[in-house]
Amino acid sequence: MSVSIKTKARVKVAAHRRGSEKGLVHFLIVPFYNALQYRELIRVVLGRELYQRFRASYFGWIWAVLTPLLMLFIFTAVSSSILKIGGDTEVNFALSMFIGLLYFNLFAELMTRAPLLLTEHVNFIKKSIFPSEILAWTSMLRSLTYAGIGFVVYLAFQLYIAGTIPLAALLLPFILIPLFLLLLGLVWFFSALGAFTRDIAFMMAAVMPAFMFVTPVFYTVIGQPLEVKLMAYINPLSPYVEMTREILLIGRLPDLMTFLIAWCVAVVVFYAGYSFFMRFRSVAVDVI
Amino acid sequence: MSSDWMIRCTNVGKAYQIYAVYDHRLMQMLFGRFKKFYQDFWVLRNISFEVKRGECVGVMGRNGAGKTTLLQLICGITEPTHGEILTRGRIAPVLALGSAFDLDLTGRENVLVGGAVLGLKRARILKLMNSIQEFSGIGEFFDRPVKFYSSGMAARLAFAICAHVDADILIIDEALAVGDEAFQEKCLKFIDDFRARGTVFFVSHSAKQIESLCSRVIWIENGAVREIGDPEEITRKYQKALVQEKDDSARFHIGN
Repeated sequence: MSVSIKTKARVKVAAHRRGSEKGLVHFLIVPFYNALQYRELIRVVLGRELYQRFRASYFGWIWAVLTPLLMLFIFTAVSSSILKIGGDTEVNFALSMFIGLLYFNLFAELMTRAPLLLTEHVNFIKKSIFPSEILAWTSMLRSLTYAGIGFVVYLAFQLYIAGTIPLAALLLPFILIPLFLLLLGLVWFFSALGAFTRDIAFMMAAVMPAFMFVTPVFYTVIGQPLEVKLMAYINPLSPYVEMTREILLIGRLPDLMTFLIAWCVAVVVFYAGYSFFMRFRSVAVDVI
Repeated sequence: MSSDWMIRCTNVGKAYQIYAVYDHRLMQMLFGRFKKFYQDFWVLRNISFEVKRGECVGVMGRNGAGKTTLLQLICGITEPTHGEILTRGRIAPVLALGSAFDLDLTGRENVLVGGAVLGLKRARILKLMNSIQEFSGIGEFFDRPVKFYSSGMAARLAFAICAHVDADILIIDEALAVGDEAFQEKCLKFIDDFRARGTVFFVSHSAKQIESLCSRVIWIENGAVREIGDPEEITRKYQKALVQEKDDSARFHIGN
């Protein structure tokens, strides 16, 4: 079965359908090269989605700032009065919880949407020559925009309450990059899978609330019994929550082992997800 | 076989997989190497032809004959089950016009999205905007959400976008049926002019359009090429066949 579709505009697309023949370097570069090549399209699709989110609202982007701010205030209030944690720790507890929730929300939003991603854009995919692999990027950038606003609100809040942000925060990108790779890989994987059966979407909706408690959102893994640690670390998200807390709240570098494992998992998931998507992409077109 | 082809199909076939139960799709995906969970439905079989630069090739055939699938294959939207399709240059597909529009965005905003999907740079689209607006001829509706458009207006806008892509191959799927005669006239004139610089692949049920535009016609029947040749001759035979064969549902048969 030899398939080759060559056009001037699509040579690259056709080329990485047969990517594995081209060697390791090619394999490693292609996902990024591809995104770079379609950056104009990614920008337009992303712009359209961001615009859609607040289209029919009067206050628009203010909501994106207000929501995390409100949450932070409530967390602080709840942890100081109801949970009766006194002194400095109450603020830390609220901030720590907020970090957990920020990551979890990002994850949950992406994962619940991923299985429906191809179906959502079916008109682009079936009626036009559309590189469907960019949908993972747009979907991620969209969710990142809101998470980013939440993060800025968080930093402002911490600066206001604690008066300082540790210098170690500058190292945050080294944690965020593997997180993004991990999320992209997962979105590719689940969006391809979701095209074949709606069950994936239902499964995600069912599993996500439970997943919240496996993620250290309301607690921290450090100092917990081994069972809790194991449970939390099966979840790929937990190390990131923990590492970020260490950097932002304690101002300490994260455990090197955790850091390296997180990177390895992320890189493997990223390339596996991309390969899976590209392999089943053409089959998925025929079933959505 | 000469070498100045723009589209070359060699022995192309496309089978869709028909599943008795929806979830067999997932089973096929996971365990496909052990067992076949579907029935093949051959939409196209053994299609071979070549289209040269400057040609306008019409495709005729009854509903379900495989015309749209053939166009999708040429665009690379879906992949052939066997055979090879080669194309040269940029393709602009005018398939099911306007269905990719975002109903809540205005016409102008949809031009930006649609243009980007067709591979135009943002700066280029903005430069062409006025010309697109003029070609579409929908006046003030250009800045209104597409949900307020009539189907004819949406078709006008969609064709206007496609007309501004610097394509080498224009692929048109029954696109002109919705527009009024004045707009059809404009589109036909555009297609005619386009032939000077590119190749047109054109599906239509209108014998008149095919005869006036095309230099060659491919007649597809039940997924196979029945005849390729001179437009007037083929349309005459096609219409004669329609009268003889009548409209029975046995044509839509799944399986072998």
